Amino acid sequence: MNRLSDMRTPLARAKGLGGLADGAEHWTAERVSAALLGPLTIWGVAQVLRLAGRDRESILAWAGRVQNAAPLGLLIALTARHAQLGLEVVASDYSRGWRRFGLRLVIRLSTLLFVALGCASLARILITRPKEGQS
Amino acid sequence: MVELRLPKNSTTRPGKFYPAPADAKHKATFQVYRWSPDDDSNPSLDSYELDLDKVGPMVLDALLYIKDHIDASLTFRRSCREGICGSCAMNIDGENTLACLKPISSIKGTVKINPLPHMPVVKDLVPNLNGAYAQLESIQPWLKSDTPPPPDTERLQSIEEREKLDGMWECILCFCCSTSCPSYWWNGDRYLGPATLLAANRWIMDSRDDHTGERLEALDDSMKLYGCRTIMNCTQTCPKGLNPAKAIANIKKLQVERE
Repeated sequence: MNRLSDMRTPLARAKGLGGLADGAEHWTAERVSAALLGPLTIWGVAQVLRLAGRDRESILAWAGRVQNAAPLGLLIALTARHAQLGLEVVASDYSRGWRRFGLRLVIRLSTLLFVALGCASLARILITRPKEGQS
Repeated sequence: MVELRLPKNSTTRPGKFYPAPADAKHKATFQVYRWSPDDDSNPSLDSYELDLDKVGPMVLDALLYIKDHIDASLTFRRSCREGICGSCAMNIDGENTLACLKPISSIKGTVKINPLPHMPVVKDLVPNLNGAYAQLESIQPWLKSDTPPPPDTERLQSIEEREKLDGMWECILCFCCSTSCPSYWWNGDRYLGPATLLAANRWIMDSRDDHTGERLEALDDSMKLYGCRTIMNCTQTCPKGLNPAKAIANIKKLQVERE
């Protein structure tokens, strides 16, 4: 609506459609996921560097161990969650109204897809993992 | 929303030049943003060369000199000339501040004077702050208590409780901070801005107010409060040396506490 056809009072415009009651949860989740991702990402990068050059079988065997698969799953889920929260902030800055709603839907669905793919892959490795001792 | 270019009718053009008298010894040039709704043209940047020996020490003195002696049509807000009314807030030398508190001697080269950024301009250096005032009103910046005051005395608070309001009651609502904030420039209709959030925190922290919960609830919104991206321009620019960013951080902290 342009300025001339908007006859609402400045106070009505300032109040708008009211608060969403979503701010604190979003903000806290973003920071907690960031704090957890710090050490997890360092661990992830260290593992990639350590495993670089190994053959496929030994990497699958590594990922098939619960002590590796658990942090790997957490890394995948938290990366997706943190990306979702961060991108939603970008969507709030650069869009509004229905466009913002649509963008947030796309962000949520695509990060959910990322988690689903990651978890399915991890589950497959865990189920079909090569026997211990082969690595 | 983010705008990377000025609208076509807001781009500035070079304006008139008013040279100083030939006998002037200490000269300085003041480049001032000029726009009038009565003209059908874009804003211009007029330059006034002044004899500093005839002008008071502050930028406001220079503006008053221009209005009194060179161009009476120059329009700006001013009142107290001592940094307590907040009227003469403008962008001087690239920074939002009060013209009455900004010494001319602190600026090297041409003194560039513009209205507060990203607000609709009424005329010359006068911005339209109706939206900002309405946002301030929306947080209800007054004491709200369902408890009637004692019949024979004022509402009491301890010295410690009173000290919590220091650094907030001093705000003069010049809106230098809000109009220095990129998040406010882009989403100023939804993000309340540092000045209003500092005022909100002032009432949240007041021990005599018993609507703290409702106040926090009203602010728990991804844009109203969390539109703050901790850019910190607000604290850097505040001409009263206050810290709106810290006040916003306090509200965010309380929001986590009540989760």
